Amino acid sequence: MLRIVSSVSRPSSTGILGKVANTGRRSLASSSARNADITLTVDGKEVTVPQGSALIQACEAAGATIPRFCYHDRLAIAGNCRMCLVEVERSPKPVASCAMPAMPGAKVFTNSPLVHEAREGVMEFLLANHPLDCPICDQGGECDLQDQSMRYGSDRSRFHEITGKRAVENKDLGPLVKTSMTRCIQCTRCVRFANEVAGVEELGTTGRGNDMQIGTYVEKTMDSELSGNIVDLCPVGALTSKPYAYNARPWELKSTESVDPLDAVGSNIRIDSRGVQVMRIQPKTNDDVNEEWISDKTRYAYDGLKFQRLTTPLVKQGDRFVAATWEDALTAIADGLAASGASSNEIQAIAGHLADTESLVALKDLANRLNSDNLILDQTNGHLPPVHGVDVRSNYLFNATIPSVEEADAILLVGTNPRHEAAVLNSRIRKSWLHTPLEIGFIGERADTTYGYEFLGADANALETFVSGKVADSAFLRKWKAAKKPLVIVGSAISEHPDAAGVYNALSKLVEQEKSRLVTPEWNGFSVLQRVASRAAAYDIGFTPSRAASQTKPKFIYLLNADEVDPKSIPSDAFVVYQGHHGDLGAQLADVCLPGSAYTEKGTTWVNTEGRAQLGRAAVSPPGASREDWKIIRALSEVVGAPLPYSDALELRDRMWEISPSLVRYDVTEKTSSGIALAGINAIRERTAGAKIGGAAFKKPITNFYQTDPISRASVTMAQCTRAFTKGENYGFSESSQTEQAAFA
Amino acid sequence: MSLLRACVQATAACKRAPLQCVSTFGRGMANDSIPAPKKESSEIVAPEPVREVLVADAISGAPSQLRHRPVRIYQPTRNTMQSGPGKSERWRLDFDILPGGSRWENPLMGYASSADYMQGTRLSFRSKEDAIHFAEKQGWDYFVQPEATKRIPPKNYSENFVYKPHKLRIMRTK
Amino acid sequence: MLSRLPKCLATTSRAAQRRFISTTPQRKSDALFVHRDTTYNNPKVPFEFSPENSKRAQEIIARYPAQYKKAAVIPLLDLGQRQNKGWTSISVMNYVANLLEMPPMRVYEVATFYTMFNREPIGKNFVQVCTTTPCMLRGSTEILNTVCQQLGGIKPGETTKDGKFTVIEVECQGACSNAPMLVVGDDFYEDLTPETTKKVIDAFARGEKPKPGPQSGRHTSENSAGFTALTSKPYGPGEFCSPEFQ
Repeated sequence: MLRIVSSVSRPSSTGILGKVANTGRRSLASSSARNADITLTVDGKEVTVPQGSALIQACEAAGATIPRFCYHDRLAIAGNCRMCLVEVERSPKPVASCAMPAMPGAKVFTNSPLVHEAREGVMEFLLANHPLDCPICDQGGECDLQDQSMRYGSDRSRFHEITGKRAVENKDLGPLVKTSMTRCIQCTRCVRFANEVAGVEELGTTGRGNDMQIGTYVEKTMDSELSGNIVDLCPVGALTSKPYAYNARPWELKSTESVDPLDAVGSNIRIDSRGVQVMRIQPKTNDDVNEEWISDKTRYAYDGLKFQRLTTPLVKQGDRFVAATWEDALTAIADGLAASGASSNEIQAIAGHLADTESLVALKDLANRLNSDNLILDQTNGHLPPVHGVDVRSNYLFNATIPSVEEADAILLVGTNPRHEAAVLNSRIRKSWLHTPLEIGFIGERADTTYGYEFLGADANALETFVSGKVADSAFLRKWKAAKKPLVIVGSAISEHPDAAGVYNALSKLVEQEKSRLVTPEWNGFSVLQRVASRAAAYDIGFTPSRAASQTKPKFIYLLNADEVDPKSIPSDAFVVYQGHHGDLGAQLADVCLPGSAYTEKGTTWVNTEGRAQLGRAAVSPPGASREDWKIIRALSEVVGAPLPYSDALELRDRMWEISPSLVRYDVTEKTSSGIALAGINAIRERTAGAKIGGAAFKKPITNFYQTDPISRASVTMAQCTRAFTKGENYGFSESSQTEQAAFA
Repeated sequence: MSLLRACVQATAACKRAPLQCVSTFGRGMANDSIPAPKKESSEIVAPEPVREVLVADAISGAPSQLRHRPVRIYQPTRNTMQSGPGKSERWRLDFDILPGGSRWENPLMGYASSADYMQGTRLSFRSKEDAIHFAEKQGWDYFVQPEATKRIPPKNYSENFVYKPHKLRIMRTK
Repeated sequence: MLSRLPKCLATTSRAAQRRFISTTPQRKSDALFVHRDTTYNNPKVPFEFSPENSKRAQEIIARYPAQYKKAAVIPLLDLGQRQNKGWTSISVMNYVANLLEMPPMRVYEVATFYTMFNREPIGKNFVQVCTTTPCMLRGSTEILNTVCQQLGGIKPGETTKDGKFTVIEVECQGACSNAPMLVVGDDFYEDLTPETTKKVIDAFARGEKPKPGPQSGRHTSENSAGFTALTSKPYGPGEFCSPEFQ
């Protein structure tokens, strides 16, 4: 059964794998030879799956759950745990269903006495060397081995090994992953994840047989921004979460499915909370966005939610903040607004990284009601109207969509390092790079991506040269010229760069040249990768200054979650209001601080870099007197005498629908038609015609992946990661002795 | 629910109609005797199917405050810590938390106290329609989170050993 | 490494006869499968193939498809081990990884998997005594004891103080018809008795190299009691052929 390898990363044409027979067959004419479906019988039930599927997939499609340890849907098949044994008719022995291809007409039994006996045997061997420390194991309660031993395990052991159970030394993988290697059952899921998905090729297996162990052989931490996922993958308690160690049991936790705003991917997460605390964050599977992975920042920055919080409104008196009631604080703002004498464009609203869509809409409505267009973004050059404009959505969105990245056959990265700006997306590029002949070109500051690329230059001139076609012939160029679905990923830092106009001009020329391939009704390969959760929404609702407003010196500044502002850009006589959840930089600049809610405390809309609106959900209530952000702005609007016309979330969402229906069409991406997309690109080209290129090199916008926003800056775990991975110091957990300890041959 | 409010909401619901195929906000409106005013617009709005909905809270005696609290209807995804897909085929309905009143730490024992009597309520349904029907019957605002489609390409053990004619991009191990 | 397992099991089980089952000791693996930096074995110790080994390495690499260079990892590690006084240091592994353009961990995996890669220094003469069943039945325990005694009472797995000998137990070397046997370096010494063993070891201790092969005087694995079949002279090429082929 020979299949083209490149198909491994492709979603199957049917969308969902496997159809139970009665759901309608495809006609013969429409099915290609390779994707032909085969029919087999699992436990007496006919099931049809694409050819080349593993037997375990067929069983699953038929609704028979097969116990497994090593097999994982999103990793290569290893076939080493032997737990997925099933009986196939006319097969002399039970077969490992993960390593066995599904064969047409096979009769499979997943529940026969033979199968049970075989699995019981496997389980007995697995348990022979597994410690009986479930009561002190963090995996307890959500452990595959624990669960499966309830069915297939024996209540007593026949294994009276006089020498005791195997003991394996723990490995130090860094401040995120705690290891108890004695519990390891060598399923190698972590090794496969590290090698295939995360691109950390330092993790592997050493030794053989009973002495085989997982590790890096030499002493080394696992430096990856996706390392937390190996905790999820581990079917036993060998790899557990270090920050979460001994904190909670899964059955005590209340899980809430939500969306992560710490980068612009909009990873779906499950917030596990207990009482008033967020105990941990887990990924929620969504094949359109994050598959099954989330970045370490998403997963571990939650402890930042406990520190540095603003819990009560604060009003500055002299050089001190004094706690105030909401009423006083709002009145102070109204007074400050009046006293500052700010009118129309002198009222400035700055939208920060973690501002949710609802509050952005409310803040924009409020500013507009106060006759101001001075709506700026919390970024370098954020006070200028964005060079790509916001009239056409496809100018600033990731048009290709995240799942379609895998379809691209040549990718040009311009001024971006997706590994740090969108870690989960980066794993998709790597997946595609591994399984297809994808070639990647790179313009920008050199970075360690997890895939190979061809370096084309570090500045706008390099892009200009590339567009003009005057580059030396190379593998990437050949691929790019022949690509059916080329993809340009433009970093969000480009629009903050001094050469932004020149770069966008070059890009628009590139799109114009290649429009027959780059922007077609089926494919839009011009994609901007935002790195900040609020950015796409801000552009969507037009949270940008008018040309006149951008020249105005503000007298009243409203910082909505804005913590990256340059203090020098704030006039000393301006009245500054900060609304946000952490006492970070923005709060220090403020005259009045209003405590808002963090993302785990509000059910708001987040628009990710693809323009996919997703609705988060509150898991815990905001601390102290904090309120939901849009409600604060709504309350303030009353006090300053410009009341906003919505008083509950649904009405506010109606307002969002009026602004742009895509903001409330949840969980889908809306394609911009190719005609409009091209018109948008043309508009960029006209606007930026004749732009000069200074030639300053592109810089990585994120130098420290672990601390990019107030939440992660307040997080202890992220600080440890910064020390361990970004600075390469000892982060205070490692206790490996420095004394010499020789092994003998 | 005041009459005015009901009207406003009815208009709102009408506006939302086109997007109901993807995600649905709804409000139980069955107790309104006034039909929703037709919104004059050029866009074609598919008429909502008429459903006989009996509002239960008139009989059940449930506090009317519940109607101001949105519920979410969703299909919980598999816990990524485990392989088993158990309980993920059911549709779950639960309440959004009560802002402010939901939880606090009990000063005496350190337990988490709650003023929210619905915080432990979690209803399971066999289908999305059942859940929606139930929410409508109770007169609850609901948001239906669409189910995630799982897209796993066919996988094959032999792919580990396929000959590659070009430079290897990964050295496979185990 | 693994091969020494039965021995250590045997000793513990003897000891355990007097012990309660509940007091089983923790069993430690007898070889470390992680690397610890030491003065003699750390990544900073330089290693490089000698010119002739480099040439050899290129020959070996050329045997495999260009993109599957990694297939040469075992022969190259062996080459490195031979050049590096019989053991594969971390520097050897790193060098091979670099040469084959593979992640170092992939090389470590191979080097730790195969017991014939010594990851710690060994003596000048590497004595491997087979103790698998056929040899054991023919008295390999005695041979092993003799070797150990002859080398000053060291235990299997240890090196003599003067660094001349390292003794280990190994599994079957495929010379069962000449059991018991031991291997010194690359040479098999077969059909051993305690006396011949002593001779072999002494010869090595004197810096000589005894003749490899059966020490009992028989030729390869021929029947020591003389042939019972095929006793006549085997006919050579051309015999019994028609004249034009003779």
